[in-house]
Amino acid sequence: MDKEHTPSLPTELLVAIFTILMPRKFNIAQSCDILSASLVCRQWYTVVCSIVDVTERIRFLITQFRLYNLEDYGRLYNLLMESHRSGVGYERLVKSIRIHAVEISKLDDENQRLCANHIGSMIRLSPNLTELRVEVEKMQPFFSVFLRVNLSNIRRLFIRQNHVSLAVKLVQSMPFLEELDLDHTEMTSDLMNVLNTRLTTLVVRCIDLSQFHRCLVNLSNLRSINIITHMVSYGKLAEAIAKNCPGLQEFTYTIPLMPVDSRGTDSIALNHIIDKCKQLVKLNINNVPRITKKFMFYAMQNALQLHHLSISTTLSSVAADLRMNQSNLQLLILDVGLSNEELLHILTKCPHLHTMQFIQQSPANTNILRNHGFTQCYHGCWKRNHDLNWVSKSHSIPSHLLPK
Amino acid sequence: MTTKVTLTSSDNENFSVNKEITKRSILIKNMLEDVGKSDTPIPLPNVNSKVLRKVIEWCEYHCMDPLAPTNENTENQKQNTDIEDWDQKFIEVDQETLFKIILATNYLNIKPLLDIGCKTITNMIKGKSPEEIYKTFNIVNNFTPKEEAQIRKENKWAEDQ
Repeated sequence: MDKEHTPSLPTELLVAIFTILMPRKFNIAQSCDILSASLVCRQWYTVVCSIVDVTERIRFLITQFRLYNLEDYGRLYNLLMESHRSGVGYERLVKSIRIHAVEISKLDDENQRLCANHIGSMIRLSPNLTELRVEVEKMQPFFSVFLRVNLSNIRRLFIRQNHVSLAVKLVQSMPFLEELDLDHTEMTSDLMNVLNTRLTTLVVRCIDLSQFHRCLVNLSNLRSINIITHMVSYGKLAEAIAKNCPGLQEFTYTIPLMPVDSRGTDSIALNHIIDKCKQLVKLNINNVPRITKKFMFYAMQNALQLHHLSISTTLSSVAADLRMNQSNLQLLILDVGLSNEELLHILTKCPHLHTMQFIQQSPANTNILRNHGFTQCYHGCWKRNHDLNWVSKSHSIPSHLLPK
Repeated sequence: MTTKVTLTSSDNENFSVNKEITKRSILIKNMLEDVGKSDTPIPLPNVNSKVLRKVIEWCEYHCMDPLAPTNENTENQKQNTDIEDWDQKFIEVDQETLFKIILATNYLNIKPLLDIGCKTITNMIKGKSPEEIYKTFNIVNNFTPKEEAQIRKENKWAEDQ
């Protein structure tokens, strides 16, 4: 008697099977199962793709999960390798890899090395990988293997935790790094020395940045600086930025908690940035003491490209000198009460302004905002209507700015 | 007296089954309603005698189960790949028979048994590599260079994102 072949299942049944296989929420093992199924044959691949966003699944697996263990890393690498071998090319979808030190540091030395091998292999296999998110901790066995991997493709690096010597080695191994995000990483001279001129974006969350201004000499290509610090005295830093980063487009300076001691540089130091960085489009100042209304108007007046100005700090209540010319500002966020005269002046001189947000103190006379075409979206946030009916009510909009 | 219905398998074997039990199959239930009172055997050309015997065995064991599960139950069943002990033993068959049971229950429209079959396949996939899966199910990995190129093309947009 002829042996009958195992019949193949029709698509409708494969859909039913993969639907059971697929978790309602993302889950490492089940996500690996569904990806594994997709690599079995062309029919299974098509069915899996019809019910799961494979790209999203892969990216989520690699960048989001926190509870990785060695088996997960190994299985994920094997899946990418299999997709590479079969030509499906999932490895080409990997743009970013996240390394969770907290989980890896729980492994013994040998498994840390194995883990570094799996991650290193994934990096080697993924031609479009340009971003690494690393929690750096004292994991000598892991990093002794990991730092041998060629990381020259990496353009964006996010480092969390405070282990400066490893952070230095990571940055050193990425000669084409363009974006660096340092979270709770002490800004030592060693680290500053390895920052190179290719950097265009720098995010620094660091308590002490007292020496940071020194390294800006090497960072003349910076387009965006975001500083979160407890350092109240920012005079030298502002001067160094103004001197060394003429192409700066975005600048954010945030002190997490409003400092009690507000001695130090006056906000006039920030004027240097306004004066020298002519490409400045976005300026955010949060909880920084001694910012005055005078500075706010100075920024509106002199930063000709400025579209976004956010000042969330208690401004000096001293009235500003209202001699402002036309500004290109589009968005203004303030934590300060404006007099009717000041508000009217801003509205008149900023014809492109479409959003105003008042963090604590809304203007006393909101009719001024309404008369200029603004309506309140939610508490404190005003947006200008698109129909531009407000134009007719405004007094001093130059004719060339009126809609044709 | 219990009414009997005769079912005829694809290899022409007749099975005399309690009418209430055959109503586990939505296909047969609808047929019986359409035909009314008749002693004519119901032909099942897509199910052979070996598989039909298994399916009848399952229906007889589960004859007291509620007929239509609520939507909520169905959702829970989807999330849960556990299979009850009796069903687990029942479905421990060779792979060819398993696939044929699944195809037969799909044809006969017996959803609870179909779910058991699908869950069994799901459990066989879990934790396996693609290679292990296609070896388990004796599937030919048919990614050809042409298809690979097509898939790469399909994924190109995602690479560019």
